[in-house]
Amino acid sequence: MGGALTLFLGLGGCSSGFLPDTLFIYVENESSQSRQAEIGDSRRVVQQLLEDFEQANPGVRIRVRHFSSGAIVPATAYRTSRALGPDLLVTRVVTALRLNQQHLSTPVRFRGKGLEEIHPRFLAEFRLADNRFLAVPLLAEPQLACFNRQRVPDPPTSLDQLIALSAKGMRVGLPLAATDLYWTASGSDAEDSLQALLESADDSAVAAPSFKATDQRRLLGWLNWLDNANQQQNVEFAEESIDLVERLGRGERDWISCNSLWLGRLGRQMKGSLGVSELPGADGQPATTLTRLKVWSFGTHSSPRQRQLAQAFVLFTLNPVNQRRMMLAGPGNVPVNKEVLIPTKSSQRYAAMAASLDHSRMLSFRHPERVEQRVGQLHDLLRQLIAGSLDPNGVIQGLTDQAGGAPPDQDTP
Amino acid sequence: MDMLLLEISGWLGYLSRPLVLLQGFTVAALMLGYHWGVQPRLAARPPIVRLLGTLGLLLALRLGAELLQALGQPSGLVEYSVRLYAIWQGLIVARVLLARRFGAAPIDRLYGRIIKPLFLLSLAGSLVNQVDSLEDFADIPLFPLFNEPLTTGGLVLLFTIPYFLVVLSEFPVAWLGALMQRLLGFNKGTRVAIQLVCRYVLIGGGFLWVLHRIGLNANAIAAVAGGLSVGLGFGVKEVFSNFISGLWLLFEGSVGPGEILFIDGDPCEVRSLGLRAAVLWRDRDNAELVVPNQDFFTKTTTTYTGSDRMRRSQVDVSAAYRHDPETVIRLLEQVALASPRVLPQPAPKALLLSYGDSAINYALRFWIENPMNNAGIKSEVSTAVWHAFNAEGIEIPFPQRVLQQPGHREGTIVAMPGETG
Repeated sequence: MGGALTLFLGLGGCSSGFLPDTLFIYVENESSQSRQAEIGDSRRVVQQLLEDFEQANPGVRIRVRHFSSGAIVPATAYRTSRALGPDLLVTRVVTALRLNQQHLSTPVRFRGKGLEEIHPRFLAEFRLADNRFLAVPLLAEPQLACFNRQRVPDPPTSLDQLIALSAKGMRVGLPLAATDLYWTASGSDAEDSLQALLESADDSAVAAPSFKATDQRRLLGWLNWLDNANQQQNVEFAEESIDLVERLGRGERDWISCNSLWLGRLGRQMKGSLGVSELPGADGQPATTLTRLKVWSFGTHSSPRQRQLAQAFVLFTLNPVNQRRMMLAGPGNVPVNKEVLIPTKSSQRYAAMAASLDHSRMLSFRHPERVEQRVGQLHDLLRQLIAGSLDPNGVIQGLTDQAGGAPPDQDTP
Repeated sequence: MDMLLLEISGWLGYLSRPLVLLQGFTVAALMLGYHWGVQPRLAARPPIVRLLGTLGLLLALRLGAELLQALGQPSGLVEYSVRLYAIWQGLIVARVLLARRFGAAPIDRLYGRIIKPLFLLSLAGSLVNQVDSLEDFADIPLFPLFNEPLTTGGLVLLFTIPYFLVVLSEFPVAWLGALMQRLLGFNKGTRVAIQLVCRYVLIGGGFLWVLHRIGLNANAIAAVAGGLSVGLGFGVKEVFSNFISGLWLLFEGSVGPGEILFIDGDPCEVRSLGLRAAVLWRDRDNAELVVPNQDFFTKTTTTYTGSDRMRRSQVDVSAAYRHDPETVIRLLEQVALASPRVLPQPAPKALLLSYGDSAINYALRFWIENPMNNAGIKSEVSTAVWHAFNAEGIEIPFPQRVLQQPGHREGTIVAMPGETG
């Protein structure tokens, strides 16, 4: 039986003349709920890429399907269980790693110099010991400050200045997600503690790490800043980043923390009023941000021909010409190909994005489920902090309870 | 439309995957083997054996899925076909059982109008969902409609929602009508009217929702409404007039289901009052009459069920001159009272109508409960009158005519039975 099956699978993999060469691609959208949130620019860019690739490979068809971030893993699992899963997926890093953990994507080996041009710091996270890649970076999306230039001629360069400007009437919008708020921790000298908290490889399923006193103190400082910001009349927190983007677009906010992926949408809404800068840190230094990457993953049940086409298409999207084209067509995209020059001198926007990338880190997603769980736990605690039902010490207590560690030092200022 | 065809043809790309083919062949081999090899042999066997055969096929499909899993291969398509076939067979078995409990006709109607269309719709959606994102598939633009692209999802909504609104709205509306009747004490006609209006509102609202959902803006809907207005003025004036007449009549209560109307000399029962016409049942020949609602609205209608359901009936009879009219009248009234389907109150009344050529003419008037039974009750009463007259020696005389012919002896009388004077 096993031999017959092997023979059948071997024969079935051959490309037959009457069947079209079709490549199925799933794309993860930004929002956890909406399918439409991110489509605007990326769809146009992707469509152009597809047409170019199909032109270069006659007879090949590419089908792209968009899913919200909450739906893409279940949808892939559902169809993969029928061998009808995608050949390629474009997702965030955490999603790509979760797909890999659930055996919904498969690592691939690129022969030759295919990935040599990719910036090593983007690629290192995905390289396996046997030189295969469980995902391949496509584009980087740095975190930025987006603001209305008519209302904010000079954007804040430090967290203290941000609060001071809000006191003078600048309406500030901040996200509630811990990863989106990471940059505020850098201004409070707590980014290492926060990163350690999120990345900790504790084996317990629900436990966060037991904090050291230094980490507690730094995190408490950060939480006090958030609590202080929350007390300001002109500072508002939002559950979803897209809410902030919409409010800035409608003129209800003057300055928000945003991701570069929203720049196209904001540019259309605000025209010349849209200003972009690095996020403020401490002492006039820019904040340290978390880099977001969009990555390619490979499906598990592709035929040999589909796998070959998928690899060719990935390399096609990574070549300097197409990376540059994607950068120019999608105003929030930063290429991962180091051979592509970013026009920092001619464009303030690209300068801000490049600078933000230079001051950014990447979260290690070796344990994506755990990182997501911690992000979720911290999100819940921050929500309670913003709602006033917990104070900063209460948040630390909550983190400690989840860790099962020692209670916080009550004397800590 | 090109995009839809392109999309569907793109699904063929999955056939280049060996694991998809393997699952497909597994399902096809088992299904075809059963239908060609096993099913013909079971055709003449009792239903329980055929059911066991079906269960055997399901078991074989399930084992096929288990085998693929044991070999470390995906088996979702085989499992999907197991579920699909099980649901289909379950529906067949349920149909048989329900038909035994509630009768074949209503269950056939339920299956034909609701279960089968729902199953087919779910099946189509489910099949698309196996290979594609339903949401993306629904967003494929087909062609422009009032300057808005009509998508695949919109087209499906445009056909299915109105159908299911018409078919399914009957049930909640009937429940609501019954509830309101119980709470507010409506009569049957008002209840039916409220149900009908609620149903039309539901269907109309649903249709507007569909138009809005498929992307028709308010201007386009206004344009449709404007077109309809012109249409109402010309082509569909009669339809609209009948529709309004029907609603009016229902609220008025003069013509509603269960009412007895006199149409062309026959009592007819109203079976239903529809969008355009009323359906009436004529007892005499079991015919159903379809009468436009507007006829009732513009012409005189005789009803036996306006304020009550009683009808006064009358039997005409003659008795010979030699019998005392008071005796005859008393006897007629006694006969009517003795008749089981004649109401005692109001009391039957016999009258001397006129002196005829050969006899005195009487009328026996009495009340009956159901207007539709008039002919039968009249027959019963007439028969009883004959028996009563016969028992009392009261003659119902033949008409008599005296003919005198030249040459015959004067005073000869020739009676001509059957001739009326």
